[in-house]
Amino acid sequence: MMDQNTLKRIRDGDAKAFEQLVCTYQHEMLCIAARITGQVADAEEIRQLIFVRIWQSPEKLPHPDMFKAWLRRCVVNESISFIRQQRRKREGLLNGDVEDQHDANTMAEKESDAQHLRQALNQLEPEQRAILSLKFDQQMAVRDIGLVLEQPHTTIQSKLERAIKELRSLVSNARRSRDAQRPSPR
Amino acid sequence: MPNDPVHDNEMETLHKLFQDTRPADMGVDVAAIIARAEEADAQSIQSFTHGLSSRKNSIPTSIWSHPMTIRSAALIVAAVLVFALFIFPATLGDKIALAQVKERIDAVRTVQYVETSFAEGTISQSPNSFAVSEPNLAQAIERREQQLKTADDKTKDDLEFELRFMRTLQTEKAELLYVRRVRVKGKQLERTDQLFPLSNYHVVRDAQSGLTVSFHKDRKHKETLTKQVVVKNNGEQKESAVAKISPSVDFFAQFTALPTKNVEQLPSKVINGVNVIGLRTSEKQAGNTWTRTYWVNEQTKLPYEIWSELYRGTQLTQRWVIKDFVYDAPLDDDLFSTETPAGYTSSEGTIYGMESK
Repeated sequence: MMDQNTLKRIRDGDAKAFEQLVCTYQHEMLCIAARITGQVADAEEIRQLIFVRIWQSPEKLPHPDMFKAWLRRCVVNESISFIRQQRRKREGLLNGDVEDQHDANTMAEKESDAQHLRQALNQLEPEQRAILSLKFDQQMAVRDIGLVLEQPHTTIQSKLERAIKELRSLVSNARRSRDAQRPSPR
Repeated sequence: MPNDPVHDNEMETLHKLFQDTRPADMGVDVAAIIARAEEADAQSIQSFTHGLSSRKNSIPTSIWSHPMTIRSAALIVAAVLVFALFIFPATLGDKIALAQVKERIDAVRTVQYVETSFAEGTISQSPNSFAVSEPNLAQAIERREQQLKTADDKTKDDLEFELRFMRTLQTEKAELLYVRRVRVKGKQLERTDQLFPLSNYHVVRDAQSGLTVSFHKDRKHKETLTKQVVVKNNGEQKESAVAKISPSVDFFAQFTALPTKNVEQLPSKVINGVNVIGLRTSEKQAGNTWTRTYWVNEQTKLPYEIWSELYRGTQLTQRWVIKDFVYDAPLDDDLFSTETPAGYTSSEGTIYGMESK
């Protein structure tokens, strides 16, 4: 957690304090953004953009108690904004285009759970991805997710349940599809 | 999770799956960030406002909300739940038309309408557009068409109404955020049905008692809001009983409170064959500008459509349309029942809000 002194030093332009902030939150930010965008490279850019803005506008930093939730919200919003911009760019194309963006060397990866999860997440709404990431990556309680996303915890609970059901179904389908493609033993 | 068919072992499986597939930790070059920041155009940072610090700007998505206060902050969050906190302008005022409109509104005994919200621009500029991201209207329509095949008569009416309205939205180019059907009876009872996305619940509010109850069809669950928590700027939380919002539901209360100044009168026009007069207001709130246009039926002197737009700077970010008004049609008391339906579980709930500065 960021303390008052560290945030004050960042506001004063202390690069060391800023580095401390970066080190503390960089992986968490990457993880959330990657779950939502589906691409680590995009997540890196989003993360960097947020850090740049923090350094540019340190006066916008909230109270230390609220910092973590605030930062997570920034990541979620930026990631969803990024997805929307991407979707608009390829408006008119089919959903399957996501697959086309992958290069050949990801074929082997398709056997992995990570790939199944990523494919499944890509079929969910960005908000659902955010809720799932906060729940399972960051292990946050529903109430805390509600504070981050500025929604009542009851709403989050409902959305989480729905997202889990959809994710479960999508992951199962992906696995069944993989198993069906394997040669049957003789 | 109560009422959650997802079992604990499944939660554990998902948790493990996420943990096992976390992306590798790619380090950040702090020096490069600082260099990039210092090179960037100072204006490029102006949109950096959508963290919790700007929360008070991002919550009031319903077109009827008021300027934020501690009390209204909590109530506006309630609006996220109940889809019923209304915004009307601080000023409205063609002297003759407004007086007539207010007089006519005051005489109304029931009103029904549909509120639709669209996102314009990017989500980072669009307040609370996060609440509903990337809905799929075509799927929602298809789902209702399927449900219609096996629906009973009462449900069929609702589904047909929703389908009619949704099909009119298919020509919209902007991104649809939500559609809500609101029915008000006796100035104090209000029922809001979320039509899109998700149509699995409705909320009943009694403005006189302050009671707000949501009914979740899928989970067969009723939740009554009894507490509100206001998160202060220093991070402290203050819990209290849910405050009453108004002696009447917002639609009526806000019309009653409308001042009569600084209103632009627009040329008459025809909407769906109805001659309407336009009254437009503009209001600045916390760096945002709201414009609202009331298209009043020339004959009945009642609102026919209400358009509201939210600008950040000169950028249109979100807009709302209220239409399909029906006045003084009989509304069954059962629509506004807060009793627990047979087979439903019930619980008490809490709403959250932020203290305004």
